Amino acid sequence: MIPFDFTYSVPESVEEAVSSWFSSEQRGENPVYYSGGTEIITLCREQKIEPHAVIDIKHIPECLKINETEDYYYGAALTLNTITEKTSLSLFSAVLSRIADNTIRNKLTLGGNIMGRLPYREAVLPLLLFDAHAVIAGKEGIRSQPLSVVFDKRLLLGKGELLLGITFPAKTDAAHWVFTRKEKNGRIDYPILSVCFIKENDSIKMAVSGAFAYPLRNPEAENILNRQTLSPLQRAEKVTDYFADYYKTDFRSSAAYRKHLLKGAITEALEKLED
Amino acid sequence: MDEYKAVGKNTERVEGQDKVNGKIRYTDDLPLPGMLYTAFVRSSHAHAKILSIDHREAEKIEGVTGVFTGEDFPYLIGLYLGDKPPLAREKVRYFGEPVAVVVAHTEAAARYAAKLINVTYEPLKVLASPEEALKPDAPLIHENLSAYNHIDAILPEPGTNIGNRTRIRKGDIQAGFKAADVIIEESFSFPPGDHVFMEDRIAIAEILSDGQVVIRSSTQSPFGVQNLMSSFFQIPQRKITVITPPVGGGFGGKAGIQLEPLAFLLSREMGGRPVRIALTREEDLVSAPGAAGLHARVKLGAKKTGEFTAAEILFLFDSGGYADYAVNVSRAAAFASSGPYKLDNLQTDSLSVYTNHPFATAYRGFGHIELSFAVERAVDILSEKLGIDPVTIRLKNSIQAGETTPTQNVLDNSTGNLKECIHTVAQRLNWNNGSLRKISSTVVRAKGIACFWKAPAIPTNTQAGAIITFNNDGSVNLATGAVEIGQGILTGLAQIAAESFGMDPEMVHVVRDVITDRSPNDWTTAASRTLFMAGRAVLNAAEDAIQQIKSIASAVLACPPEDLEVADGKVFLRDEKDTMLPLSSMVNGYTYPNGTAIGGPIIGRGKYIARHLTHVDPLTGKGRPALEWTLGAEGVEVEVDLKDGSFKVLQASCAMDVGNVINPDLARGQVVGAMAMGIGYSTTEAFEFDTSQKVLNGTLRDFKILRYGEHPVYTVDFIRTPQKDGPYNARGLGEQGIIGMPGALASAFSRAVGKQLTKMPFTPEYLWKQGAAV
Repeated sequence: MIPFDFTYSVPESVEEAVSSWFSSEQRGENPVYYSGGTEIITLCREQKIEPHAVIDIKHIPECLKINETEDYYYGAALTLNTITEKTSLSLFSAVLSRIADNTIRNKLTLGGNIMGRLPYREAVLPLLLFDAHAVIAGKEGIRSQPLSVVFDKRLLLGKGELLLGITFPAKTDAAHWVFTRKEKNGRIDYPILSVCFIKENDSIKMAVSGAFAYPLRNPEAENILNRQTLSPLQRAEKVTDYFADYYKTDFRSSAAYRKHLLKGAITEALEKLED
Repeated sequence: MDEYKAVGKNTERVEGQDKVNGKIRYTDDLPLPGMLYTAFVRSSHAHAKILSIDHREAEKIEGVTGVFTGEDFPYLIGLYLGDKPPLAREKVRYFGEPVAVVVAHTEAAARYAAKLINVTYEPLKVLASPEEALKPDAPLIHENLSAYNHIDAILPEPGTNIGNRTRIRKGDIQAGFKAADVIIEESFSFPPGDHVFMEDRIAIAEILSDGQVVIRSSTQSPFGVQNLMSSFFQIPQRKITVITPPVGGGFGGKAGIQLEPLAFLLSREMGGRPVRIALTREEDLVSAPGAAGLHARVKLGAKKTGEFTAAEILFLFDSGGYADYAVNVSRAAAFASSGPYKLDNLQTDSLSVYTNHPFATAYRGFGHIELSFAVERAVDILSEKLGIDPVTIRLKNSIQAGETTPTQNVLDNSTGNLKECIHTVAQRLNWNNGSLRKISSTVVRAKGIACFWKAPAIPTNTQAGAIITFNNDGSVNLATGAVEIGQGILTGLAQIAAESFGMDPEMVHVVRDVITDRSPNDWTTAASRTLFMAGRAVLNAAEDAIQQIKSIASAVLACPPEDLEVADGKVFLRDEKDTMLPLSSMVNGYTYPNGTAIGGPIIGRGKYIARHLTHVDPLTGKGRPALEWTLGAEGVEVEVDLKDGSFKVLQASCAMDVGNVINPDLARGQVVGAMAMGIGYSTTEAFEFDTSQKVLNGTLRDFKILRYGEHPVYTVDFIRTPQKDGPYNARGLGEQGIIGMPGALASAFSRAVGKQLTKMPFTPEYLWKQGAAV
C-alpha cells in the first residue's frame, strides 16, 4: 500500500499540466508527472519517493497521439503494447515487446520507460538510431530537440518539464536491423545486454543498453563497426575493447560476461547485416 | 485399481472451485473489528550493534498507538533452540531483521510512522559463509548459546557458531576406503534462497476478556503454535486457540512458529485488541526465514566394478542468523546422508552453522534436496573416474529391502523399488541413445540423472487424529488437524473416508479450517506425512463409526453385527442385501415405527501415532528416526548454447515409488510442482549478497522464480510397491519430486559444458565460464 496521501489531478492540456506542476511545487508537494505508474506506484509503496501531487498526463492529446504518415510521432503516454500493435517499424516493436512482461506493457508507457529511474531505458535504443527528437513542454512552451543533444545517459529535462512525445522524419522501415537482448537467466528480466543495430545507406549504427550503466550510442564505436577491411570478429573485438571501462558489474552479471555477450552480438549482427 | 470406489480416482480438488473463483477465505480475508495494524523497521546491516533507536517522530503520527523495540520484549523464542528475540535486542544478526514495530489504527499510519524511526548501528564483522563462521577467530553470532534452551535432539556447541551437529558413524570407513579402488573427494555449495509461496506470512492475535488468546495464522502447525506459545509465555494450553484457514502455500516455511509470538505480545500491549502482522512480499523474502544454503564435502570410495565401499561426508548448513528449523534440517540430512545407496561404511558430520545471512527454516525436501545435490554430484564424479555409466553405477548401488540406512535401520519389505524407478527414467530419457549430442557448432543437448529418497523427519511421537460425524442424509463430516496448504490433503482424505464407507467422495464434507479447540490434535502439516498419518487416522475413525453403525443396525435388523456391511449409503446383511437400513435413517439415532429411538449421533474417533520410532544415539546416529522411505529417480535433458551458456530445460522426468496413488491428478500435480520448484531452486532462486552480506535481490523483480514459458515437458511415473502400513498402501510424495532435480540438472549441465560443476545456481554466465575453462 501507499502510506501517504497525495492529490491526483488529470489535466487535459499541456499548459494545465505544467502550471499544475509549478503550483504544486510551490506548495512543497514534490509533484510528479504520471503516466503508466508501474514505477511510481512501486517506489511509493516502498516509500522511496513521496510525491504529494500526482499529475496524470494520460488525458493530454499530445501525449496520446500516434502518427506514422508524415513526421512520425509517438506520444509519451502511449503504452508499450499500444505502440507495438500500431507501429509499422518492426525494430521499434521488437524492442518494446521485450521490455518487462505483457501485463506490465499494458500499463508501461513510452515516456515512462525513457523517464523512469531504471537505467535500461531500452525504448530509447531504436530512437537513438532513428535520430529522433524529444518533444518537451515547459514553462517557456514546447521545444523539439534531437536526442543526440538532449539525451545523455538520461533525458535532460529542466525543472517542471514534461516529455510529450518522440518524433522523427518519416522512415520507410529500415528492414535491415538486428536486435539482441540477453538476460541473467530467463527472458522476463532486466537486460544484461540490449543492443540494436540498423544498416542505413551502407552504414551500420549501434545503440547499447544493459551492458553499461546507461543507454549509449557512440560515434567512435560506429566508426570501428564500419571499417569493412576488418572481419566482423575483429571489429567486434575492437569495439568491445574500446568500451573497456563502460561495462557494468552487478549481481546480474560480471563486466567480463557482458563484454563477451556484446562481442558475440556485434559479430553476429555484422555478419547478418553485411550478408 | 478397480477394486476401489474412491481411491485411485481423479476426484476434483474439493476447494478448487472456490480457489479459482476467489471465494476461499485465507487468514487476511476476514478483518476483525477494532483490528490494529503493524509496520516494521528492518535492519540495514547484516551484523551490527544497535546503538540507539529514536522513535519520537513516529509516535507523533496520527493513528499510531504504540512503538516497540527489542527492549520491550525480553523473551527468547525458538522452535528447537530458543535463540531469537521477537524484535532484535542489542544487536542485529542479518540484513532485514526486525528492530522496531509500529502499531496503529491503519496500515498507512503504521508504515508512514515506521519510516520516521531512526536507528543507529555500529557494524560488526560479518560472517558470509559457514566456513568463515567456523574459523577459530570468527566472532560469535550468539555469545550466549550455552544459556539457550533447546530440545535434547539438538546438539549446539557453545563457544562456536554451531547450532547443531549430528553424527553418523556406521561401519568402518577406514577399512572401506582401504578396500576402494578409486576415491574421489570434492566440495559443493549453494547460497540460501526462499520458498516464495503465494500467500505471504500473516498472524492476527487478540486476547478476549476472559484471557483467551485467539491467534489466526497462516501456519502449517496450528497445534505447534499453541504448544510453543503456551511454553514461551506460560499461558495455560486451554487459554490459547489457534485458527488456521486454508494456507496459500507453505513448503515448510510456515511450519514451526513465526509471527504469532510478536502478534500476541503486541495485542497484550494494546489491551487485547486484535493486532495484525502481515508481511509484504519483500519482507517475507528477506526478513522472514527461507531455505538454507549448503557447503558440503564428500569423499566417496568404490571398487573398480562400481560398488561403493565408504563415504565420508561433511555438511555445513548455512542457517543464517538464527537456528529455527535449520538445526533439524541438518539433523535430517545426516540421517539420509548416503542418498538411496547401499553404504556400509559411512561417516557423516552434519552441522547447522550460524552466519549473517537471512535465517533458514524448513524448505521442501527438508535437508534432502541439499544433501542430494552433494551426494549425486559425488556419484557422477566417481562414475566418470571409473568410466561407468551414471545410470549403471546408480543401479549397482541402489538400496533395497534388507539393507541398512545411515542410522543402521534395516529397510523392511515395504521398501520401494529404486531400480525400477531408475530404469523408468532412463527409458523416458532414451538414455541408451546417448547422453550428449551436438545440435550445431555451439549447441549441445545433454541428459542427467539423479536418485533421491526421503522419510519424514519427525518427532518419535508424531500423531494425527480424525473425527467423523454424520448429517441426517447419511453424508459424512470429516475433521482432522491437517492444514490444506495447496497439497490437496482435503481431497485425499475425503477419498480415503469415502472408500472406507463405500460411498462417493461427494458425500464427504471435509472441514477446511483447523481450530485447535475443536479439531483433533495433529503434529504439523509437514514432512510429507500428512496423507499417511491423517489418512490412517481417518481409516481408524471410519472403522470406529462403522462399528457403531453395525451395532445399532444389528438391533434393528435383528442380526449379529459381524454379518453387516456398510456401502452405498446403507448398512445391509452381507448375504441378504435387501435386509438393510439407509444410513440416513440411523446415523443420528434410529427411530422405530412406534416412536421409540435408539442410538444417537454416531461419532467416529480415529487416531494414529508413528510406529516404532526411536531417539538416535548422539555419537553414532544409531536409531530409528524414519517412518517410511519414498524412493525415486529423476532425469532431465537440457540444451545449452556453449557460446554464452544460455540454456533450456527440455524434459524433466520423475519415477517415484509411492506405494499406491490416492488421486492421480493431484499426485502428478504435486510431483510436477516439485520438479518445477527444483528447476527454479537450481537455476535462479538464490540470494545474491554484497560484501557486507546485504541481500541484493530481495524483490520478485530481482529474485526470479520459474515462469510458464520456461517449463520443460514433464513426465511422471508412479511405481507401486505397497506401503503395507500406509492408507490403501500409499506413502508420502509431497516433497520428494524436488529432491533429485539439482543433481539431475547438475549432471546434465556438467555433461554439456564438459566439466563437473560444483556450485549452484546454474546461470548461463556460470555455465559459460565453466565451459570456457575446459
